[in-house]
Amino acid sequence: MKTVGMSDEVHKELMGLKINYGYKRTDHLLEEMIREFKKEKLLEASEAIRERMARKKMSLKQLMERSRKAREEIYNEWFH
Amino acid sequence: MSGSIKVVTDTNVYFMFFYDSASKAGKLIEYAIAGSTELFSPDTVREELKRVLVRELDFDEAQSEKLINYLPTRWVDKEIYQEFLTKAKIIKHMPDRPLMALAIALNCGIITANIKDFKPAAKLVKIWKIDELLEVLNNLRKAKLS
Repeated sequence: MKTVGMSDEVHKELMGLKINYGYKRTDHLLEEMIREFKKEKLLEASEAIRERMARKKMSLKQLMERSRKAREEIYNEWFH
Repeated sequence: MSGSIKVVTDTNVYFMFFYDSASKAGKLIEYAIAGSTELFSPDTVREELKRVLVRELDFDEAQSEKLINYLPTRWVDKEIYQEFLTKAKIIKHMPDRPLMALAIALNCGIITANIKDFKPAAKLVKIWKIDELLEVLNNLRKAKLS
């Protein structure tokens, strides 16, 4: 077990969530918060990439073709 | 993460997720975040993602690193898998061999959208179809809940 310092206000918010949502352990609440944070960040990444693809009028198929070319380059640079 | 399914993940799976987060690839990423599966990829896949994001989509180096770091993936350096590249010769297309070598090194399967090129690899490692892998992960989740 490790301890993490936090302000009284954040601690109060955390305990409120724990009680209101019926978590037996703060650990479980934090685990779920971490998972949701990671999902959110990935959704942001997905949105940013889709937006660039739309701007450049690039399809998924085209992107994958470019990716295959990059793969060939990397193999030649790293393993030859 | 003991008891979770390890799988070597190809670049195309990540791009399918980025393109459509509600896709089957997105579901797989969700399972990885939940710890039901562990995604591994060779450093070549990371570099491939980076080059495409920078060159084709005009992200700068720092932005592309940030986006890639969000993926729930364990990136493996070539020092770990390069000794298995000889065994990976079962795959004709040489640039795909780092994925195969890593799967041999980790003794696990590969998830890729490019089933055709990886077909010969099935003699040595499991080549997952995404539906099949998602079904196994779903069954494991149900078993855990019951």
